[in-house]
Amino acid sequence: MKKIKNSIIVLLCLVTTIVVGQPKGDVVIKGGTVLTVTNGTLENTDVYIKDGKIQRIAENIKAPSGVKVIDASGLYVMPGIIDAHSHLGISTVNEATSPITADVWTGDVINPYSVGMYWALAGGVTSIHAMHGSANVIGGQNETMKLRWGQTDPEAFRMQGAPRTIKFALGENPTRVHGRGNGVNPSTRMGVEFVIRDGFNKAIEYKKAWAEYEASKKKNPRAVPPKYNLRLQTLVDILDGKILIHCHSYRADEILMLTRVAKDFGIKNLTFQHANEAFKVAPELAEFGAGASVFADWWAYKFEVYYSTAYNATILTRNGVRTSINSDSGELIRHLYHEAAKTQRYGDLSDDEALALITINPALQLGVGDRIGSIEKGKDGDIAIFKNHPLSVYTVPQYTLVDGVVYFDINNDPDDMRVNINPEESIEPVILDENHERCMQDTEWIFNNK
Amino acid sequence: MLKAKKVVYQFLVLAALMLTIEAVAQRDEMAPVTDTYAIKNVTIVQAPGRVIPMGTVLISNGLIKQVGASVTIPSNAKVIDADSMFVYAGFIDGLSYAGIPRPEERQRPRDVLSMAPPYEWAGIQPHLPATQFLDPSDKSLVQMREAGFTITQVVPRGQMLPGQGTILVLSGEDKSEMVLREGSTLFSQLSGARGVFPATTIGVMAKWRDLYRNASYARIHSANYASNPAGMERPDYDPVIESLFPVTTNQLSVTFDAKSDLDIHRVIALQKDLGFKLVLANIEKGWPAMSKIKSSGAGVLLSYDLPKEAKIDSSREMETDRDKEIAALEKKNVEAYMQYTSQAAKFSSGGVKFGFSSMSAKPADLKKNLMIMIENGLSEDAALSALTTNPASILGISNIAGTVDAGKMANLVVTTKPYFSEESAIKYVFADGDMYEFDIKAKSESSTEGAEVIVGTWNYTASSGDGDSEGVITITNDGGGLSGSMTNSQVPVPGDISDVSISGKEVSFVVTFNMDGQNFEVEASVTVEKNTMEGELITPFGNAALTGEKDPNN
Repeated sequence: MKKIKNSIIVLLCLVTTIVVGQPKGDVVIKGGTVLTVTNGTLENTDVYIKDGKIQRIAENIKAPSGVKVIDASGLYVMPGIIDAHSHLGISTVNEATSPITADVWTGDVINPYSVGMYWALAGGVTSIHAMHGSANVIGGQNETMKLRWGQTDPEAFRMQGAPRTIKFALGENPTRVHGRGNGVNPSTRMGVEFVIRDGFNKAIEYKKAWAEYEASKKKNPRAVPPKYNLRLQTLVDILDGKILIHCHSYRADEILMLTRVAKDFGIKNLTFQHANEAFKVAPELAEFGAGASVFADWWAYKFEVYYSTAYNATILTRNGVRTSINSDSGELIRHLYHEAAKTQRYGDLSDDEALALITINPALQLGVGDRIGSIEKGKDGDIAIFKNHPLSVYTVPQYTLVDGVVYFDINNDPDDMRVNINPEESIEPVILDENHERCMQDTEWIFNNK
Repeated sequence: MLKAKKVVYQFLVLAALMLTIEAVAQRDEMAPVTDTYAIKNVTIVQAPGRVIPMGTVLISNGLIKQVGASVTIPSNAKVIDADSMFVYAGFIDGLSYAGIPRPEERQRPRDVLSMAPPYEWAGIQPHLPATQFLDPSDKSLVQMREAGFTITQVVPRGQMLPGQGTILVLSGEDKSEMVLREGSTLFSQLSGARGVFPATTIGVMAKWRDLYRNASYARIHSANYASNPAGMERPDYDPVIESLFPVTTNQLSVTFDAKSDLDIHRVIALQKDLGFKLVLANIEKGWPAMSKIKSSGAGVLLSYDLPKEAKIDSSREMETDRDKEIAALEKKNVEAYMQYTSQAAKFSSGGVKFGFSSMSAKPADLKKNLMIMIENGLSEDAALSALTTNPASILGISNIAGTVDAGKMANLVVTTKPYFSEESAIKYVFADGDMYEFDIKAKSESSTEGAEVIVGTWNYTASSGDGDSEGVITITNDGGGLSGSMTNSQVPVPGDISDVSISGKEVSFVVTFNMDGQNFEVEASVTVEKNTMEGELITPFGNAALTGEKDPNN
């Protein structure tokens, strides 16, 4: 009997792909007001998460024996918040040495010890888009992560199966770093467009050369391969639709420019990050099918960000542009629910519309809208539970769950949540290592080395 | 009774005193009269767990000739009466910079673009052997030998791909005598070049994939061209790519400097991606990744460096919340410190074989730190394996080194007591059959002999490629020892001076600075002439030349 049991266990282990450090939990969240985002609000409803997935949403679900129960009566249960623009959880942000660095990838340097991720969990955030910085026109590839705080293996933080994404950047940052900093193209917005078109044209040639090699290899085993180039290969992958573009941008003219470039090269999937002037070209963005991931009301930190409005997200939403609100900050990420609520103060968005800005919309922009971003059967058990409505100024996060596992519980929230301790670290003075704006991190040498 | 008394007396003396060793019989101009030695009446630890309680080791022509309880000693042998002593296989260090001087700081020419730097500015020189950079007269080689090491694998300094390893035997005066094997491994680091691609870890990882795949294609092209060049495009001349060919065929291992668990995860990710043969070296914090290391099959070289001991200030009053918070943080630091000191034991009991690396450790700390690891659960046999048989196997030299067996190189360490005991000291080191004898003299711990040359206040200037900085060095003698502080115009908080060592006019000390909550060490070595000093500062950011003058007002 025991033998049979053992072989069943062995069999189960063989068929289930278990990723190290990605535990899946069973839990019933009872009696809360469930803000599904995609299917309205359900009063006094239970959510049963089994093996990390939402199994049932109904009234009076009887918790199977041994399954954890969270009493959510009087509380609000919403999908875990998703930040489409963050630099938390990675050790390097910018490889600022070239106008195109498509070959680098923040997913190579996931840092499980970045304590800002726990602080984000304490703000109801369950997933982040850990992006390369904005120093380069075509920057590095990004990583979509789940905040499984406490794990030490970087693999534990990957959102398995999420599509590849890449950072582009227009305007002042790349022209400052490369044009003014290094004396190379681009030093103007025209130069930025040229760098992109030139890169894609070279990628087309590169793809052709490899196709020719593969064809001739069949007839001639001694055929000489072209020189392998990971940077161009990555651009080929963008052209082939395998990588979604997320582009740092502010001005309406340059936003339109990139949609034209995308049309010329047959690129379909575009999301504009920051996009402070996107409201001026909202119909054009809607027509293209591009998304926008914006701040609620953050601007004027440099010249190209002066023409801005807190109505940006509302105007975009009303024009049918898929819009999200992001943080780009270790601080704002802790209250993205307030950031979303600002669209009600400034634009009268409905609760579902406002919540969609920090849940299902960023999920769709990251290509994972079928898995996270709303409370629906079959989706991942990524949940944030609040006291008072999350769009109220009185709201307080209570629990945050990823795959049905509780990672933040306000009643069990020790002062020191660091996982990595350097025994030589001085106790005072205390240095907080999460900065406000990290988009230009790792580029300091360009300006200091003059 | 008498004997017991003697032991107690010795213990008391030794406990109060610190042992210092000094090489007295270095090989000088004259060749030794014989190269045959018989180490007699010695306890022979042939290998971990393999001991001959009383026997003789006979060596000749640089090789171990005979090992056993009864060995006939030839008449031409120099006999070493090693009664009550212990002989071990010479220690093997898996990875170091011994004898590899730090390169001079160079200013990058304006025409080297950050986006497309030549290999030499990108930190990519995998075709260069460490031998090319070796300075056989460098004192670091002597320091290694004083700690019992007879073999070390040295690698060039640099960034992403500094070059190839050379295995050295720590004997002889020039490269022809010292080099055991060139091209022993390909050395790599995740640290980027300054200001050019690849400048960061993400750049280095991308560049690794790019170079490796390029090399895989180029190798086939080169082979095809070599077999029949007619009608075929000629391969580019590219020594960098060519030097990676044996890596792509698993004939040459890649040794990564992987200090932290994050480095380890990243390097193993690269290895899984590309498939090269891997050695993870200089591991300071590897325990969180231990199971992954084990399943990767990589060779493992732990650093024997340990952090400064973290302590709880027991005199603190626990009145305010602030006091309690500080105490809790101190407790965490102590717990973290214990993780470091028990790492070797964890790897050993977890079934991961490892050797040691001196890369970021001081050979003089070897014994002290090994004893701390043993206190924290490492067995003596496992420690000895990590010093001998395991690194021999990782370096691929088990057939010639690592145990005391006939036929192996005459690399031996002879100690006065079992090596893994507080009171032991190294009396002889044999390297490649050459004998080095050490004078064991007890020196009082509080000795401040010759301290007057350095005690006082000094104003100094430090010049490096990055420009000048200045500050004040203050060294005081409080009777119990030398201590002090050092300021520097580029560091906001003064650093603490420790480990002051004086030998005539030569003074060296260590300064520990704290910046943004992180400690970093600066090693200073200066020559003092009455009211002036001149020397060098070795910092994690590069070297600086130091000149100083005694402050006349102090």
